[in-house]
Amino acid sequence: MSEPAANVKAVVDRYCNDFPSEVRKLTDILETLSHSPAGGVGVLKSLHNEVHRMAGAASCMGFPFVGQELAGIERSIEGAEGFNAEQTTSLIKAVATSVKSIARLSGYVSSQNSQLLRAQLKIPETKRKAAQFRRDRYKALFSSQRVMFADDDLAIRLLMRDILVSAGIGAVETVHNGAELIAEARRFEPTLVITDWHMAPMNGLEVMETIRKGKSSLDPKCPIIFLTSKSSVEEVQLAIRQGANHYLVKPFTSAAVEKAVYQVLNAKAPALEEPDEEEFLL
Amino acid sequence: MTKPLSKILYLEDDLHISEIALISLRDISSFDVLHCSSGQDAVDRYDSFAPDLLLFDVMLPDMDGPQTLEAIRSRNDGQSCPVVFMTAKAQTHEQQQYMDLGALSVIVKPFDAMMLGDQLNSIWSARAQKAGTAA
Repeated sequence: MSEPAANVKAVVDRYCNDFPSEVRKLTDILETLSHSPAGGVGVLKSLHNEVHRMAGAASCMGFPFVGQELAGIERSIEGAEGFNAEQTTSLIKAVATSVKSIARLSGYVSSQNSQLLRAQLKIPETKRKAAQFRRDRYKALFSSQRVMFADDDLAIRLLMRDILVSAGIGAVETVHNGAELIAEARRFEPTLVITDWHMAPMNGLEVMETIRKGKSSLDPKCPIIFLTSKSSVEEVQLAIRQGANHYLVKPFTSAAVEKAVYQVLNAKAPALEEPDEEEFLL
Repeated sequence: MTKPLSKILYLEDDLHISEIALISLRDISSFDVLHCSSGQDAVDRYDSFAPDLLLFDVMLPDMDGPQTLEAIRSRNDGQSCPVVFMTAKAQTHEQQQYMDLGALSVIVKPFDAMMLGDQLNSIWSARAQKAGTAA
């Protein structure tokens, strides 16, 4: 790795380490605001400044899915200076929900997922060629695929869309829950479904049962990948035995998603060797 | 012949963004860069540093980029060295506001960290060419 690239990586690493405390700063400001919503114009301004700064930093460090979420909060705060106490309280609640969503993204804010590093890191030529060969192989399969992803968390939806589009998936559609997935699948006709485990109406297990029993417009054999937290892994492993094709544990990396999608879509092909995470940072 | 771009006064309040930009501007492009994290600091150090170019983030707490430019100009008979703004606001009309303040250019965030210096050199050369044509 060249010296400037190594220095950039060091900055991104520091950013990733600092990210949880940066989010806590927002939580602290919201806490202050919730105690005095009527007199909080100055606090609201400092919240706006912090969110703006963090949105810019997230985008510059190569985490556009975090930047977009923060930019959404920034827009919701703009123009709130004339709000009365009731409106401010309502805004604080909405912002607090978004900040919680961003806090859940902390695990994804890692060097492996930084688009800036993907663009900057220089990897030895032999490794680069091997990684490129693998990615070309993935892309040849991915370009004709239509992936539908269900998750009730906006930030996770943005992240997954980002990963799938970057991997070369031909068409990506995101929905909020299982019921919406089943309804929208008629129009979108996905060739692969990725779904969160806990969501409503209709959780991941119910989605799988609906598809497998032929109660949807989808082919009952349509491949399904579950997304789950560590605490639900055993439940999902049970689901695998009942007909799911694969699962991804949160927080996932782009490399893990690409590998799972490839393996599920190419189940008959010989398994690929374990990918080196760094090889995806191209 | 126009003097090559050498000294840049860089205003940015975010620590991580400024670290990335400084790698690009100092380590890759070898500019002499003074980094300020507040508008007041930039105003106070403008005269002694005597930059060729101001590279200002637009939105900062207390004194923003345009206000900092205004403060520098008001202390220097309405004059300052050329300025380039950096902003996350990608809309054309928002960028035009900053061009109307006399900016040479507006760089939209996220910027390409490794190319930032080249980008500034191109902006600087374009300015020199324009000045040559006008003369």
